[in-house]
Amino acid sequence: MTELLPLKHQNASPLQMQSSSAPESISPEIISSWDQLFSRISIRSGMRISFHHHLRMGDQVVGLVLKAIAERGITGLIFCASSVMGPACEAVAEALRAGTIRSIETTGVKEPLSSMILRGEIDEPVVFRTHGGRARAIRTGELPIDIAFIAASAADHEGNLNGTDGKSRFGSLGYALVDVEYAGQVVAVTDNLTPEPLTYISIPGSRVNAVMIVDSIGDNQGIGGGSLRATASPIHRIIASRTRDLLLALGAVREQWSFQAGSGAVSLMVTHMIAAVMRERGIRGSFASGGITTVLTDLLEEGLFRDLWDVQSFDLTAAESLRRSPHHHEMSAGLYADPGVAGNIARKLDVMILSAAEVDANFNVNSLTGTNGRIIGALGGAPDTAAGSKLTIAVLPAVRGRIPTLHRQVRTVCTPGRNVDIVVTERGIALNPLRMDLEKLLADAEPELRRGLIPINTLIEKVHAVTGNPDYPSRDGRTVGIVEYRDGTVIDTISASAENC
Amino acid sequence: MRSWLYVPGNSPGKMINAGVYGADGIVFDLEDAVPVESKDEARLLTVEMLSSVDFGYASIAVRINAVDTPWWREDLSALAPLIRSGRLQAIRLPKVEHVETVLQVIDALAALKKAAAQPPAPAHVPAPDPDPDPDKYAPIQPQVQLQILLETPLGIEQAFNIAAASKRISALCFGAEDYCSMTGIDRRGPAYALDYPRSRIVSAAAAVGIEAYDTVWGAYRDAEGLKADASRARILGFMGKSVIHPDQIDPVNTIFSRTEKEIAWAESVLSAAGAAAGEPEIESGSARGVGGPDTANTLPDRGAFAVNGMMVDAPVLARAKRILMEAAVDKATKR
Repeated sequence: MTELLPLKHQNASPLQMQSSSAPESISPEIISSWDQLFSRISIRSGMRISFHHHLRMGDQVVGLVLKAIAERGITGLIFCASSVMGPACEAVAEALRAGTIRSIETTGVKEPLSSMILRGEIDEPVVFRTHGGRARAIRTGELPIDIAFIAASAADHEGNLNGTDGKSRFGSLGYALVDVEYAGQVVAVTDNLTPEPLTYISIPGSRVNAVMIVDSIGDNQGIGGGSLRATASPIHRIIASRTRDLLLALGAVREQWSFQAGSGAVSLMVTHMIAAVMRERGIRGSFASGGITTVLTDLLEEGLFRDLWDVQSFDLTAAESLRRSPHHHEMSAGLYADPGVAGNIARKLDVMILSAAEVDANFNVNSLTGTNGRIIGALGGAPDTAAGSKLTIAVLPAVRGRIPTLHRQVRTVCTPGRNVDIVVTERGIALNPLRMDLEKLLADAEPELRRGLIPINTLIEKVHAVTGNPDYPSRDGRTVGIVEYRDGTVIDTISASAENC
Repeated sequence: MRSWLYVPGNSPGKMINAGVYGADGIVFDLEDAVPVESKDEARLLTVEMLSSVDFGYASIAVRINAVDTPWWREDLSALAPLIRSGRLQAIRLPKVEHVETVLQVIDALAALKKAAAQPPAPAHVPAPDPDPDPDKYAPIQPQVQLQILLETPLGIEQAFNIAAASKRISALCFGAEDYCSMTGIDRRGPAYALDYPRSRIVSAAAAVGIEAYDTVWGAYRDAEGLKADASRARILGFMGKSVIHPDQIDPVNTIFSRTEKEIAWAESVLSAAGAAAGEPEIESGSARGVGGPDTANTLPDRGAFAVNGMMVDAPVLARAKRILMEAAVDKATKR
């Protein structure tokens, strides 16, 4: 039986935890061996352990923790992460094979987990949640977290944490903030224990039970990896420039506007192009949000956006900006996109540029699986921001590797079509019939832009005329994935399909 | 035509997207971009693509293999149905140095036309035609044009003779890489180094009333080099340029489009000419006057006149009309 650490937060409710920030505050124990850590925390089969993915492709903490847990013979845990990518996927796959964890809850996965899921090698269906949906589920108690393991690039002796100091700094801890607020136990994992108190604190020590010191939490050069696509092809440039022209024709890029773009190549290029327009015309926006890159921090510094709301930093410049700029705010996933949080940022957005894997005739967006059924992406915050934003534009190449991305019906519905206003491809722009008001706004647009407007069904036919009609893989296998909409309802499922692995 | 995008004929991924980049023309390449072992495959693929894919507003050409290779006749035979259907607007002939080369290709096209015009010899028992295609035995349409690539010093020196060899020739195209290799000119050196062959081509093309297209800029990541190269060609009189990467299309289209200043000047000339001829004044900002009464012919009778301190006579008027016509085409094809 493990000896429980006399932690002030042990198994406490969030309310108790909040009230325990009392004068007799006890500093969390600083621990440097896994034996010591596991002798002080309560962990047993069936518990839900959580992680963030701010280190993205460079994360080593998931692997370190799961290995240490496995070595102690603990099995049957629920792995609950904001996302999982890079080396963490291999670690999770190994933990699944060993029985250390029995199920996964996440917003997305990469190989080799993708194939394991499709082959039906995980007994319980993987639950895919949006960033806002995960925050909501944690807040409401639907998703109780027993232990949150928080990778932090800096911790002080009081247990205060941040992601902005130290050799492994990665920026915002936005996704972890919700876990920390509601988890029964919080274990910080850091490679940088500072002798002096931190001057920038993302997570106060009052919410941390233990600080585990390791040699390295990961490689922060990997925070720009994963789904983040910095390079763009000529096709991407065409789509991005059309999106820019569309936004300008709609009058969306105006004083005090707010904006978010996804992490796909086209979305990032749109941000670049919009930045150039704002610069040239001296347009000053109110805020940009979501994943933050240097392009946006440059605009902040130039005064072209008043504020940045950062749930995830995509490069080290953004991490540094978060550290020093009073107008660059660290934002929890709850404030970002939890539909139950009043005034969430997603709801305040004017424009959302959404990267899609597939779009269908009803404007439903699939950002999770490919046409061949493989799991290639993530839900992320797209369904949240699409629901909240006043204008949502889905951008995607109409053909990828000679396979069409526009279909009568998408493989997996992630963002419902009612929340997607426009689809922009290199072969045409389709307006959602629910938003024909936009067509009126485009009446005086440049003829070149208007020529590109095309009904979605015609666009689909046009694309299929080039590629041929796709031969869709079957969906006959057992359910191996559940796609939850942000409100907790099941919006779609993923079926086992060995042929797609 | 401001831009002609080369697309390898053995690359289906690139071919599928060729029509979306905004090039005025696409040249599907069966020659240098295709290795010897892929010649057959590229030929089949190009025909299939051109038969089934919509490339939008772009004009379509195919660069066949040179006449001193074993492949060019097969290339032409494979393309015959596309020529017949009008799907293929031009054939680009590489490494032309002699008039005889052009005539050889024209003869080959004529032979294909003749073969297609005649139904196959009847069998012992005539059978009903299983192919109901009414165009099957229709003659090859005469409108397929030839674009001549001049890539060697000899070809450059023969430019006029070659250009004048046939009415089917619609353009002379410069190919600088071989030319530079043979003359020792540094292709990445000063742009003026190629002024002579470029001017010779432009002049020869103009002499017979056809277009001239400049050579490719191979360093596709060097945007500034491309702009300098294209600008030089434009100054020397080329109508457009061949490109090898989609990113080169927009800058090339911009450089070879008529500027607002040029259009305004041309409109002022046409307007003044209209007034001089007693016609209604041309509306500002429109391309009216193009295709209207031929003031260029009537003006000499009336003598020259001045616009903004510059003498306007028949050649100047003709230039103004040409600018407005090109601007109108640019506008109509902008996408």
